[in-house]
Amino acid sequence: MGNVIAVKNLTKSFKLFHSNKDRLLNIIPFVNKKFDMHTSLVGISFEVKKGEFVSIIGKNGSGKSTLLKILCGVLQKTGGEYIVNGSIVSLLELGTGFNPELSGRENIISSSKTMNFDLKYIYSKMDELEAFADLEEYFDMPIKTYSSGMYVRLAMSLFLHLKPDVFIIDEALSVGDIFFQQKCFAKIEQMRKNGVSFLFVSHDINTVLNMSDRVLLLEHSRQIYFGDKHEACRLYIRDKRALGQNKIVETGKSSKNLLSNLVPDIYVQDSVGLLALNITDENGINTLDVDLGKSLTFKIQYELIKKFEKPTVSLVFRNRHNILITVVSYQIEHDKRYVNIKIPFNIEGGEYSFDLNIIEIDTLTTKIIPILEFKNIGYVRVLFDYLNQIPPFIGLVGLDTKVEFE
Amino acid sequence: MLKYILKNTFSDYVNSYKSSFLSYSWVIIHPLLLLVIYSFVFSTILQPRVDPNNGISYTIYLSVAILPWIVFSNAILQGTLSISSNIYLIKKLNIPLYVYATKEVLEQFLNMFVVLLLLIGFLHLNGISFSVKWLLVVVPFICLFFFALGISMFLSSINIFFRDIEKAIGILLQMMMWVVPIVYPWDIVPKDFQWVIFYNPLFYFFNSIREVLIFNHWINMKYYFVLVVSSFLMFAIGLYTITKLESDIRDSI
Repeated sequence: MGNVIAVKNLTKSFKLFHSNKDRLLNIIPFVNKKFDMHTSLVGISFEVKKGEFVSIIGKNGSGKSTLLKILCGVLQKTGGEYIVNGSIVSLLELGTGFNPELSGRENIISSSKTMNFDLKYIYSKMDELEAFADLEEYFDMPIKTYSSGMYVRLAMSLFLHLKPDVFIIDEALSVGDIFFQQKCFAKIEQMRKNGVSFLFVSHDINTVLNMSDRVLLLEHSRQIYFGDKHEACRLYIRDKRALGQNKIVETGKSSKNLLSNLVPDIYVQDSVGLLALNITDENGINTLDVDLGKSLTFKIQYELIKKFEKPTVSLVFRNRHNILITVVSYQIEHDKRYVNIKIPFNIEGGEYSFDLNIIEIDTLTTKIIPILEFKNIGYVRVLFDYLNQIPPFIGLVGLDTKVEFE
Repeated sequence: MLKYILKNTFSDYVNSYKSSFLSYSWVIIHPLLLLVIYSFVFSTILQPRVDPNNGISYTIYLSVAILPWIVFSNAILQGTLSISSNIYLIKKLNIPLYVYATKEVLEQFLNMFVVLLLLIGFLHLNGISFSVKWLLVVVPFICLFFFALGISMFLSSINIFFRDIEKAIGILLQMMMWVVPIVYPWDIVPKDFQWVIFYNPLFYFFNSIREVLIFNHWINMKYYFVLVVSSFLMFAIGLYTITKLESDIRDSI
C-alpha cells in the first residue's frame, strides 16, 4: 500500500519582523532585514497510508492546525519535506464561497467552482447530495433564509459527496443534530471503505480511539509520538494530568490520594474533613471510565468534628456544555467514616466533570449552606460506541422505564 | 489555473449583480452619468479649448478617454482590495494569491467590452464611423489590462501590511485622472508643466486610444514601445511582489 501523505522532518516558523516596513524591504533583492523566528512546528514526520484513519491530538497551540494548513497548502512550510499523492479536501473549507443570495443548489455549484472541485462529478452527485442534506423545498431557496443548522447540513453534504484521496476533518464534525452527525459518521465509514484516507483533529479521546488506525501526538510544536492509538492517548492523558490542566483524580489504593494532594488546605475548616475519594467500577477496579449503563462507586472518607444538623455529601455532575446533569446527595452520619455512593451512569456518552461538596441543609429554611466545596475535581467518562452499536436511548439521560403489553 | 480564473471570473461577474435592482444596467449607467456630468460642466459651463478645427465636440473627446478610464480605475480599486477582501478564502483554499488579483481585474475588464460597444455606438451617432485602423487600439487595451493587473498585484499584497493603501487608492486614482489628463486636452496645459504628462506612461495609453478613435491617426511606434515596456514592467513588479510576499501574507492573515 502506498502512502498518500508522507511528511518528513517538517518545520514551520513564522518570521517576526520588528515592523511591517522591514518585512516589505526584505523582498527587495540583496536587502536582508533582521527578524525573529517563532517556531510552531519542528521535525514532524509521519505518513498516512491509503484508506488509513490517522488522528492528530495535542493541546491547543501544539501546532495541529498549522500542520493541517501546511498539508492543505494554505500555509507554506519553512523546512523539511512533505508529499501529498492525490487530492485533499478539508473540512476547514466548510461553507467557503457561499453566497447568501443564491439558493442551496446554486451555492453548491458556485462554491465548488471557488474551491476548484470537479463540476461534472458534483452534477452527477446532485440528487444524492440533495437527499443527504434533507432540506426539502429549502434546497432551492436563497441560503440567507437558512437556519445555521441547515447551512451546515448543506455544506457538509457537499463535502461528504466528494471523492478526495485525503479527507481532513476537524472539530467541525460535531455540528448538527445527532441524526445528522450519525449520518455523517456513516458516510465517513463508507468513504473509508472506498479507500479514502482521513486526517482527524480532535480533543475527544473517545472518538479518536474509536475511529483511528494510528495517532500522532503533538506537544509544544514537537512530535511526541506517532503510532499505536492506545499508547498515544495514554501519553496524551498522562501529559494532561502532569500539567494539571484537567485534574483527574488519581484513584490509588493508598489512603493519601490525589484528592488530598489537590486540596492541601483540606483541614482548613476544622469542623469537617474530606480525607479521600476512591472511585471504582463494578469489578472493584479504580477507574474514571465507565460503560454506559454500568455504575461507579464513589467511596468518600470523611470526618465530622463539629456537630452539624444535617450534614450532606453531594456530587454534582455537569456535561461538557456545563449543563447540570444531576446532583447526588446523601446525608452522612457523624459516627461513620466512609460513605459509598453507587451511581449507575444512564447518561449519554461523553465526559462529565464533577464537584464534591459537603453541605448542610437548614431544616427551617431548607437553605443549603456549603461547608466544603471542591469544584471540578475530575472527569468521569461514559463510554459508548455510537458508531457501531445501537444506543439504548438517545439524548442526555436514559430514564428507568418499565414496559408492559396488554 | 487559467481555467480556474476564467470559470470563477464569469460566475462572480454574474453573481455580483444578483441583488441589485437594476442589475447589469449599472455597467452602463455609471459611466453614462459621469459622462453627462463632465460634459455639462466642461462644455456648457467652462467651455474648454478643445481643438475646434477638427469639429470634434468635447463630449466625444471626453468619452473616448473617460469610458476606458472608469473601467481601468475600477479595476485597480477592486484589484487593490483583492487580497484583503478575500482573506476568508485565502485562509482556507490552496489557490495562489495572484489568482485573486487577476480575477478581480479581469472581472472589471469584462465591463470594458460593454463600455466599448457603448463608445462605438456613441461615436457612430456623432458621425465617426468604424475604420480598420481602429483595430490598432487592441494593443493599448491589452497593455492597459496588464498594467492594471501589475499595479493591483503590487498594491494588494502591500496593502495587507499597510492598510493605508486601500484608504488612499481612491483619491490617488482621482488625482491621476486629472494628471493623465482624461477630462481636458493635454495641449492646453502650460508648457512648463507638460513634462508631468509626458513622464506618465498612462498618458500614452489614453492618448493613443484617442488618436486612433477620434482623429483616425496611426499610433506612433514610440507610443507602442512605451505601452508595451511599461505594462510589462508593471506586471513583472506586481507578480514578483505578490509571489515573494505570498508566504508572509499567508502567515500574517
